[in-house]
Amino acid sequence: MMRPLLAGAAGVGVAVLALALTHWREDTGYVEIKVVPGFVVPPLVLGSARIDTTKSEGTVLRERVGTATLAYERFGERVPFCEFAVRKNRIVTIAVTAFGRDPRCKVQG
Amino acid sequence: MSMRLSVVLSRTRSAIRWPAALVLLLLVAVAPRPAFAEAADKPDAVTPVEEFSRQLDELKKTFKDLNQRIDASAKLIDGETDPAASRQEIAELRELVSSLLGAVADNGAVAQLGAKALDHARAKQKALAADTRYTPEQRAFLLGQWERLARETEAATKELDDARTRFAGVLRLLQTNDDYVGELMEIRQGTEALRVVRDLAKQIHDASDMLNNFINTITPPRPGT
Repeated sequence: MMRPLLAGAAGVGVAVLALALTHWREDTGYVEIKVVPGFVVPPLVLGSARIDTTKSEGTVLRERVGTATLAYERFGERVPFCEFAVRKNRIVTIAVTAFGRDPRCKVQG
Repeated sequence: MSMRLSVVLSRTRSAIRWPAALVLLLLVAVAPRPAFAEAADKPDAVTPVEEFSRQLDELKKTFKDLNQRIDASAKLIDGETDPAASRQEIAELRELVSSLLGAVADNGAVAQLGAKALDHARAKQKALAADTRYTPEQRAFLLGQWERLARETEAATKELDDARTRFAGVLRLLQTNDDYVGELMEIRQGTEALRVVRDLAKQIHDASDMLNNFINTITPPRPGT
């Protein structure tokens, strides 16, 4: 009677462990986002992270390796404007300026 | 290159006495949510602040070992002449600095915990200010304690900002150096390829001479020569 229950619990345990290990081994890199002084840009979003554009030292986010897209928010919608590669154990710097109302980016590194 | 690296690394070491650990990274990878959930379940507990403080202590404790590792690697790179070995050392250092940066990144566990602890402390101050259960003296005491906690937590999160900026700088420097060493390796490989091509050309030239001599030996002499 208890055996299926135990087997089920063990299965869930293994699944959780596997998920944790996947997370642990995930290759990550870093994205540094800096708004060039003097420019005012709309709220920026990278994946699930909102970026504090007012921080003078910029924002550093850990991201999964691969292609990342920086977007800005306008009228509740996300508008992608910058695509770049995130490499393992490396940092890529995104300098954000603006042309008119729309942000522009320059990828360094 | 390596001198500059050493200078930056030593500056980083002297300025930052605390960041990350593998233990912490394990916490980051495996169980950040339960900690947050626990904090959310007990709104009156000091848990977020305590948890943040505990993680910061872990960072400080383990940074000493990592610091020595960085120091040893930097010295190795200084004395190393083999680009491949230098590159390997830089890659290992990059991995190390990357794990440190991961702990203090804006979306890293410690930074998020810091923000949560600060929010909690401010929320407590606000709630206590409006709470009529306590005597004015008691309220003043509690408010003072939370004020102190909020101030100290804020200072600690500023330290995190500083660490983040510095680690990002070191990681950037390491990857620039890595790229430079990579270029050196390509030059060395190019030089090796050039040597092979030269050897080959010489061998072809020698074979051509031999062939020429052979042809001369089998060609019958022309009359009058």
